[in-house]
Amino acid sequence: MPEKTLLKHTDTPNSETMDFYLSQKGYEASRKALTSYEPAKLIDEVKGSGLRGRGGAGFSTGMKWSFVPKDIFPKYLVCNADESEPGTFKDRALIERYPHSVIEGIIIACWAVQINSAFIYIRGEFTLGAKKLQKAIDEAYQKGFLGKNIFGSKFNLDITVHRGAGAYICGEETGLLTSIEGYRGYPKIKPPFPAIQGLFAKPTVINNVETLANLPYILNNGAQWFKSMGTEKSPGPKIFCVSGHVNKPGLYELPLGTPCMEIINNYGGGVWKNRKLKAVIPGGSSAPVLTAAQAEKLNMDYEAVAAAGSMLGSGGLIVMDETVCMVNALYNLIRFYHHESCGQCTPCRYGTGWLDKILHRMEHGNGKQGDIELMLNICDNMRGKTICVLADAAAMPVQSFIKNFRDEFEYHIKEHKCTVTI
Amino acid sequence: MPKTFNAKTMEKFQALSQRYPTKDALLLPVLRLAEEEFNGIDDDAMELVAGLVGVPPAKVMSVFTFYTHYRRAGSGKYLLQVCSTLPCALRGSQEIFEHLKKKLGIDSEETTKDGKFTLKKVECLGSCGTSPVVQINEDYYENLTTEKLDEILNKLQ
Amino acid sequence: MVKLRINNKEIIAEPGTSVMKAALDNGIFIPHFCYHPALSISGNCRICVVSVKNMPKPVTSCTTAVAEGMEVETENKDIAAIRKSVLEFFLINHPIDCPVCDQAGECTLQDFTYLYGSDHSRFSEEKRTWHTKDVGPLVKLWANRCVLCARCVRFLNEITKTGELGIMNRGDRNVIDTFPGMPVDNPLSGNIVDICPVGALISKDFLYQARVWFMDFKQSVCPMCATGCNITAGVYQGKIKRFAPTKNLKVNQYWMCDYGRLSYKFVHSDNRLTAFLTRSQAGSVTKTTLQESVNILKNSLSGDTAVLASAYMDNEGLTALKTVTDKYGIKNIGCLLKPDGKAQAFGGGFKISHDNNPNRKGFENVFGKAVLDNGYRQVIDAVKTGKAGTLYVINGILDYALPQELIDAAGKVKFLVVQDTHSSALTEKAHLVLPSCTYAEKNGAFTNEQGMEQKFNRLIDPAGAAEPDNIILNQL
Ligand SMILES: Cc1cc2nc3c(=O)[nH]c(=O)nc-3n(C[C@H](O)[C@H](O)[C@H](O)COP(=O)(O)O)c2cc1C
Ligand code: SF4
Ligand code: SF4
Ligand code: SF4
Ligand code: FES
Repeated sequence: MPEKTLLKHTDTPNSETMDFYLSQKGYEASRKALTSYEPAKLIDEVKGSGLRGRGGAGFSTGMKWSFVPKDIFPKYLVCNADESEPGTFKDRALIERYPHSVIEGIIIACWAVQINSAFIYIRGEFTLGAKKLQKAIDEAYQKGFLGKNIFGSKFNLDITVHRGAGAYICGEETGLLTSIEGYRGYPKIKPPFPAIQGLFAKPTVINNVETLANLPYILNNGAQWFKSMGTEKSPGPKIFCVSGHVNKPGLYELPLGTPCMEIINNYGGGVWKNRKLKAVIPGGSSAPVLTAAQAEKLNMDYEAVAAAGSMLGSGGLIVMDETVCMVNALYNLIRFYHHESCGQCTPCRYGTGWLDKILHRMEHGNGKQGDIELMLNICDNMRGKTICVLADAAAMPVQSFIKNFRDEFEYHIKEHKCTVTI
Repeated sequence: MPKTFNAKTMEKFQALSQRYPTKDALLLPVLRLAEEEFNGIDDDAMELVAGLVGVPPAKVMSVFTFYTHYRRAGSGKYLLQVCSTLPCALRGSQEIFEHLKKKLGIDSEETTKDGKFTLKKVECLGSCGTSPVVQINEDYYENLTTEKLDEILNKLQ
Repeated sequence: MVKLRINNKEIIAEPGTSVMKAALDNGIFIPHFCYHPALSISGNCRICVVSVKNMPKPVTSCTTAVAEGMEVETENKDIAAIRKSVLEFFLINHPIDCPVCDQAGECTLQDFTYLYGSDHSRFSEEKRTWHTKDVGPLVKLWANRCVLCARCVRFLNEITKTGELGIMNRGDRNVIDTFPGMPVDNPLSGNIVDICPVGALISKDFLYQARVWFMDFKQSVCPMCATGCNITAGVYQGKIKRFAPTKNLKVNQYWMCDYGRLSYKFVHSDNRLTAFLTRSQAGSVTKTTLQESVNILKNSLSGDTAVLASAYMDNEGLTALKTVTDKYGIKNIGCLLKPDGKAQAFGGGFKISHDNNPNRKGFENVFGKAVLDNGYRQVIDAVKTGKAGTLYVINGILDYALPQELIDAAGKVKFLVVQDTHSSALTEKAHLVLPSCTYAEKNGAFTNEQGMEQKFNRLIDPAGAAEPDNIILNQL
């Protein structure tokens, strides 16, 4: 196994403490940033590393920071710890087991963009994580790494932990902002983009936990070190979340571009129960499903997964063996999106509910001729026609499941039952 | 009955007010305070929160009902939230749910007669690598089997 | 300013304006549910799509700002297809109960479905259903018909700032509701009925009163305060069935208050005066005619007559009165005013005036400030001290009991003439009663508190023999 960076210590006892973190060169990177990097130079350094957002969209982090206007105050940074995309569970490990790396990442990002107030939006279910984060933040305040004049500089920084309360849509960055602002987590109309007008209508940087956790290492080891891993366009380490039908589900930190089958077989211990692989969802539940044959040839970097017709997304690799009924699996996912649509846009509000009802019927043996075409058409009517991309995220599984496993849907409709029985 | 916060909660409320630039932004955290103090949120708690935050009660209700993780008033002593989304479903969450359903004699969103348990099917808890997962009140119980679950339930008093 | 083309028409708009607003302001209609010019942009309904040259896909026009050189198309095949799909989504859970829906005939959902929708449904699942219930003294909610445009919620948050309605739950469980025990009860509540694009929020006052397509619609001005809201009256079989605001950005924007909204009831009240009457010294009452009344009046007017005229008289009546007072050399003139209330200001600048009279300004313009301010006192004093032989009161104030001091004093004059719309303690004493028309029964004009003269139209036939003030006065 290649050497780990982000997860190197997450299995070590007491890894969440300040003492442990300091024993691992902790807070040296942030101190260095504040003392020897002009903000603009720091942004260039991160741009140069090629770091791309680990929250799902894979957008260049340095680039995102550079969009923020310099002359408007206050500005905010929000660390996205909502981690709700089914199949994704990496941020939780960082928060619970190595929270100081996230806090240090926040300090570095805030210095780069000259932000004095940061929020960590953590999903409500992560009670333990919220406590550990708060404890780590308290420790950092005590050490003078947060608060007024951090590291003895003139720079002030406060971090507030803000707990979500059970809404996947608050992972979408603008839904997250409305949620902090105290409203229903309705995504906002863009433009204006958060970098210009975000939290409390001020310029705002939103970054995923894992994205931020990379920053201390980039500063300590340099952009070149970062680029030495992964592919040219997708450099660096990535935490892959392997779930579903493998012998050893869990988190595997590997360079971007690692072959999918290597992850499943060498790290995930292979498909469980000696069964055959049927399908994978490579990037969290919203990513289009791929067949076993496609997975055989798949490298796990942004470009390669996109070329295969899916998305690397959050790095959540959901593995399905030959016993899985694809109608059932899709029904499960659509129930999720139906449950989670915020409901403000007409096509998403009703489209998710309608798809759920059709799939429920089909799964219970009452599929009808025309259901497949109807579902595909509903997806067309949802995609690209809404305020945020949840509607697309709900439609993509439907389209890809039908495209890759159409025969199972047809069988369900004709025979009123599954092709597979466990 | 109109509700009020005790002194300790009020202190927390004051501390929170310092951290946010608008009053509306206090709403989610103050709902958490109410949930904690009253062990669940009902209409009276919402009215209290509305008064403290300075927004109409209908707004509090519209926010409260948007988010599914706040504890509703009348929930059992132990709230069993069974993750049922695909990654958990692939590893037997349905079996876990059915087991609980049978054992407790209640369906999702129901509470046992003795007020001890509320069962709730929920969506992805962000713990897919250690599925099946059940969140009991604040804590996650992972890599569950029905046997393990029985042991856990027996320990809950 | 920004120059753009919409449907090949050149349009100039302010920077920052939405394509929707630019189009509507220039007479180009784009379908919309959630957009309302006086409310914040929500962008939720998704029907307002238009094509913009060089943009990869149609965009919602209410959320897209105009830009220099932009070329917009508001109708084409792609757009029609999207609109059709949005309407299909709306209808999957909608009860389609148009036959019993009060909104039918003026329902946006009906109209757009007629234009773009499908004639059959592909939805064969069970519809989700919600409550039908009172949400306030004036308003009833049919939640099944709601399209969740959030106009009502935004109105109550942004204009009245009372926030009684919220969207509860999430996703397709979203539903409009109040907090238990806290109904929509504010001075502007009726406006949510007007802005609700469908039959979800319905006026309880108008419920099942008339099919809108059988009503006549006429423009008028609300007389209940000096704001002078412009209104559209719905008339059915000779009766006013409802008032709704008419957009006038300088006066009432898009709104009116609930008090004004229900004020048509005063026009139709049971105690309207419908006949010319004389009362003998012994107290016996005889019906008479306009001509006979005019003759009596002519004989009793003279230099020692006192006149009290209300600020509910229209400008035509006041001008005619001025001619009469000049002609007869009447000096003792006073203004009868409904007492002031409390001014109320709302979000976006809408105001309910403290002045409960529609035409104080008009009165001042005709008779001057001194008469307006001091005339009433002088008249009362003159009457009390027996200096006035005849007292001629021209009232017409709606929803108001005349002051007791006037009623007491009026008993002292030799001859009391009362011209009014409604019977009162004063008409009970009058020797001559002339029934007059309310604003609803004549053409006329009021000058509102901003000094704007606003014309109103005759909505219905006069009650009985009632005549407009100026018609009576012109014959004296
Ligand atoms: C429906 C939806 C859900 C999302 N959920 C998450 C999430 O749980 N965590 C996250 O970091 N990003 C999530 N995102 C992506 C965020 O919108 C945003 O792109 C990300 O937080 C930016 O951080 P990054 O640039 O560091 O990746 C979600 C996006 C969508 C559309
Ligand atoms: S697409 Fe769906 S989740 Fe996103 S804003 Fe619209 S309704 Fe909400
Ligand atoms: S009740 Fe009417 S105004 Fe309110 S959200 Fe529903 S459709 Fe819109
Ligand atoms: S504000 Fe005044 S003019 Fe307008 S409706 Fe109300 S009473 Fe009539
Ligand atoms: S009018 Fe534009 S989205 Fe509703």
